[in-house]
Amino acid sequence: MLDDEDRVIVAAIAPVMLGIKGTVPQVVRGLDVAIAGLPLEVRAQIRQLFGILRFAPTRMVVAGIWHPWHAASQVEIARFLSSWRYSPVTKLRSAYDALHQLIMASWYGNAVAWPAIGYAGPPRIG
Amino acid sequence: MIHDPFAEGVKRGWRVTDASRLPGDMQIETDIVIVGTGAGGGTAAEIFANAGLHVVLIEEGPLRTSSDFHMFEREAYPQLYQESAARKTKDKGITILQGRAVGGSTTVNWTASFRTPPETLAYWREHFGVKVSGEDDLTPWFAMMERRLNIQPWEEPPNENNRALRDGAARVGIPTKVIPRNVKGCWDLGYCGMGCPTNAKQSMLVTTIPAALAHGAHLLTRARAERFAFAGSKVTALQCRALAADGITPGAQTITVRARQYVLASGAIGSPAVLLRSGLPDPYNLVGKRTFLHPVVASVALMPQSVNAFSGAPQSIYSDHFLHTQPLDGPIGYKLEVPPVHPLLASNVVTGFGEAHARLMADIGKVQVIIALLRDGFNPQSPGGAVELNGDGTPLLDYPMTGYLWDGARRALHTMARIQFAAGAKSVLPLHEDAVPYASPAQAHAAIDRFPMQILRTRVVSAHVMGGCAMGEDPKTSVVDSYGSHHHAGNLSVLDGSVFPTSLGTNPQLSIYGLAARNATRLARQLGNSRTHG
Repeated sequence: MLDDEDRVIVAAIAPVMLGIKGTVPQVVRGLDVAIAGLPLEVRAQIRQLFGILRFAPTRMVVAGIWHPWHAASQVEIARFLSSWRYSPVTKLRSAYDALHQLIMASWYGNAVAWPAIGYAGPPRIG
Repeated sequence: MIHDPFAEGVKRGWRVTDASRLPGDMQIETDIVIVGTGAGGGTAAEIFANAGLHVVLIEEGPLRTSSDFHMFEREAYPQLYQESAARKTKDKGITILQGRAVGGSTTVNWTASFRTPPETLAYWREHFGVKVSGEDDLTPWFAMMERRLNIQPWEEPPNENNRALRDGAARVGIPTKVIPRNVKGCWDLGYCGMGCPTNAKQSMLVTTIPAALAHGAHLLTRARAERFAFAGSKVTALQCRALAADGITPGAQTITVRARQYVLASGAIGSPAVLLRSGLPDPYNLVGKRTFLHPVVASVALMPQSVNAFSGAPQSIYSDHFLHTQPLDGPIGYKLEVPPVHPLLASNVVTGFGEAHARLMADIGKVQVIIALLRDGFNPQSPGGAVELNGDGTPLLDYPMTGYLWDGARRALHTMARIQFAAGAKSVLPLHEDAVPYASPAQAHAAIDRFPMQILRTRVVSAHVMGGCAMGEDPKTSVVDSYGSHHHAGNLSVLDGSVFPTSLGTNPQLSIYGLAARNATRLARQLGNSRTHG
């Protein structure tokens, strides 16, 4: 689902969204798998969202990210996430929510995230 | 090794076809075809098969059985839930948890089993003319399904998450009760939502569907019911499409089923969608309307002690106090329960990002969560949602949150914070984007009073989809009659939660079981005991 340009965006946003360092490869992979499990209609909407984040003019105007993603600072990205999170525009709030959902799921669904939160994983049975 | 009776049955020769592997188109003739294998379709399948009728079951999701249930969220949600457990309403304001596999939502629900509240039945009788009393009384059918699925109040001690609801509520004078569960030999693991790995949960997957298959029923999985063909006043065929190997995109093969009787049991989003795609008569524009969700708001508490809300029977304590403190059709009431708290789902519903979110996740073992389920549909200001079709024919639910609902949501956030502080919470985080963890009741209540109540600001989820094919005796206000029979298609019945004219005010599975059992038994009698070939 994701190409290299999308992966750079995810790699830039994920540590800021998660508030955790060293999360990137798992999240990027997880996001790919998660998107592939969604209906076609939803996949198309996610493509559209990545389109806005990729295209420099919309990235600057809609997301307020003035540097290319690989050069954007954590502060700049946090400001972007907050602005969408509290936007009066419902569609931007839902775009923030989609990023929140995909990135959180890709990290916390992965066993590498569990030791740090004290979750031992499912019990062994049989 | 834990037995996998379903896998063993398939080895013994149960007729199960994965439509994504069909080499070509398929034609089937049968007595009854049932679309959907959840609470309604599963219950009906056993009853029809026991009556000697030949049954074909059509399921869009995959067949997954206990040996596939590894208790990993990242596996379970994409495999067993609609849209990877991230189905959204049209404006994305509400996330809907709904099953999509053999057994439907019963494969993944949290086992709470309640009869339909008497006040709900009375409301249906008075406002929709639904026949649910006297000789049509549902009580014996609830009792029958309680026996069939071993439903009884949970006898083990509640887990810490449920205990906190019970004790906190008691301290502020709110009574609670023990939840009846459909389990047999439950291991108290806490992973019901990912498919029961020990087959203790008496879902359709381990009860009625195996019984129907043992009587010769034929189950097709990964087959999407597209539309009914209709002529005169009868359905003449059901057109299905096989899904591709990914289980999501449409495949090339078609399946045409001709039956004497057609039964729709695809749930409150799926069933209206099949009717809408079919273009069946709907002179009063009722199909897919009045869809209800029990919109849920939630409150997260950080306790001083371990809660481990991912462990133990997920739901064992509830309170209906706020369903009974005001009139049924007055300001909206709510039921209080707790959810299981596993990392993936918790990380999704917990609001915020960055360090604040990470801090809360790091304490997930001490997190206690209460949910409030709003009883929608009993007031003119709660007309519910409407099922629409996307360009590709897949369904989309438009469910606007109204001021009436937000009023209840705000009251519920107050109630839950009050209970959590009484239970000893160090801090409480109402799930709203403007919230932070509040260390005192005064701070929490002051903040909750100020929250702007808007979608994608207040976290709203749903696990109960109801309505859209309302039952009743008047075709001007209902899609099917009190027995699920379609008003305009003589040989079509709807036997699932879509027939509810309002929400229930309680977890729906037993209401669906009881109603489907009554209506399927009546239908089986009408169809007699003649067998065709299949």
